[in-house]
Amino acid sequence: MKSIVKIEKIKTLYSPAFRTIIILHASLFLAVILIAGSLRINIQGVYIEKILQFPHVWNTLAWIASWFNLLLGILAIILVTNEFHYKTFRKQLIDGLSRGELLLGKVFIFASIAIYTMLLVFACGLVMGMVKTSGLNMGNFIQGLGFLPVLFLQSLGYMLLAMLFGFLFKNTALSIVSFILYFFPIEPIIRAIIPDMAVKFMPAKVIANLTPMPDFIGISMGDMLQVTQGSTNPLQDIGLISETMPLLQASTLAIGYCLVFIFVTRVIAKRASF
Amino acid sequence: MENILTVSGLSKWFGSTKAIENISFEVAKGQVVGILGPNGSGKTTTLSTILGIRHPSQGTFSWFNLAAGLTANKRIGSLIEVPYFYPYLNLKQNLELVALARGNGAHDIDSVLQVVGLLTRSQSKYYTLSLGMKQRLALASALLGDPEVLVLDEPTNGLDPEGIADVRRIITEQSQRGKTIILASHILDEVEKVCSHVVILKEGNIISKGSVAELLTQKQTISIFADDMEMLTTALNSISEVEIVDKKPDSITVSLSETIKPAQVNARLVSMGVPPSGIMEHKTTLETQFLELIRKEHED
Repeated sequence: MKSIVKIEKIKTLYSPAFRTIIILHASLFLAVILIAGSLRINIQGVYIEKILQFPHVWNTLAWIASWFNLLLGILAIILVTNEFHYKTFRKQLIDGLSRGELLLGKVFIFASIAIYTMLLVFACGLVMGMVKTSGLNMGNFIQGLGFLPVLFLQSLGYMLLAMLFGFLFKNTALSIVSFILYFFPIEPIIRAIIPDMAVKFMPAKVIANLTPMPDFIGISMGDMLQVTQGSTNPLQDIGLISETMPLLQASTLAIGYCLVFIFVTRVIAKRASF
Repeated sequence: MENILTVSGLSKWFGSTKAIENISFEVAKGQVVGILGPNGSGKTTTLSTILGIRHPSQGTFSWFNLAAGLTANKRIGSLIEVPYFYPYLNLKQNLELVALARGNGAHDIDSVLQVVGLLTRSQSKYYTLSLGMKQRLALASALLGDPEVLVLDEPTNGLDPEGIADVRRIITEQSQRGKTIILASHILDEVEKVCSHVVILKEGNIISKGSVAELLTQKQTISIFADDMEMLTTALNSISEVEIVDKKPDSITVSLSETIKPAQVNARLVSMGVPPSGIMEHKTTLETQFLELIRKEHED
């Protein structure tokens, strides 16, 4: 296991594709939150910037980070298909690694990238929350931190699905196009056809719903409406929030899908000639 | 003698194309076995299959008397087809990956680079190497960790004459150290010089196998010169121990069975009233034997 980790570390950290996409990912994410942090929107007494205060900042940044998960998926595809292109999977089989170990190495590296995403959001959320929140207290800081492991799971889910496409097609362009087409329009079309009950169980839907869009107006108006109506979630009352799957259930399903992606990839890898 | 590799009834199809069909052979410890055959005869498919890169369609193979089908690649140094490395890593990093995969050899990196003459380029990125240098690196990778067996597929591909001589020297040194080597090559002279045994493939089938010494003593060929070629042809056709393999305007080349010598052929021709004006003995080489086998198979 230790040598598989070392092997993946060497070949990934020096990969130009990895370096480029990770720098692009971090830059785009930082640019978006810097822009968001500099906005001063005040619509009739409603301060939008409240979404960057504790505890809402975790949900907000996790949601923003989720925009870039497709980029991580593309990175995952490149990391897998480059191995077929360079025929280095074949070389490593010849040198004594098993097919299972090749797969394990990739899962390890994708989990590491998902941890990087989580840490990036944590660091940015910490700074942004401290700057934007007046009167810090531990309760506010901790509340909402649960979005970080959920973001980890979401990023990992995207990359494991991308890995499956990479192993299936072995070709970078074909895998990326298929991966993107799956999210739009293939799964949306399937969701339009299947019964409503099943829609929320579709993989892309489950994974995407892990980091829901923050309730911007609700958060900003929350105090005011709570005072006037005594509601805990006023926008749900007025029908602006759609009914979604509870987070715990969605997370469990997403873990299930991650395991399915790994299993299917394992079957493909076992049968393939390298 | 301890068997290192046992291949039994191995077949591999790609769709409806048979790459290898029902091939069986054994490699004993310390043997240097040459896998010969024309292009497309199934040499690389055989080696890829026994190394576990391709799944066999039928049959089994067993390394080191382990359970059938189990690969033991950590104990085998291999070079299959062309070199495969990460272009953006330097030579040392690429060999470090090999050592990690194999579970040993990390301390040998400098010494194997020295053996193949690439130590001064150890910090160069792989993509900056010439084809010959890439092939040398692949050989270094195969030697890393001093594996028990070497499987080399066309190891002299892309090498200059000096490189070819180096590879031959390395293979000879390794075989003298008692290492088992399986070598696929087009260069028959090379195989004859370094191999103790051969397996000859044609269109996915084994057409001959055995020791090089046996193969070389199987048949001798001679060219016979005479003034009357028609009479010579008639006389030779009447001698059952000779077989005409080639006809030229001034000579006929025949292969002799093991029961007759060139001097006896001469005596028989003289007694038949067709005295040869000259007889030239051909040195039997692996190349002539190989070409003869391939020609016979083609005729059959």
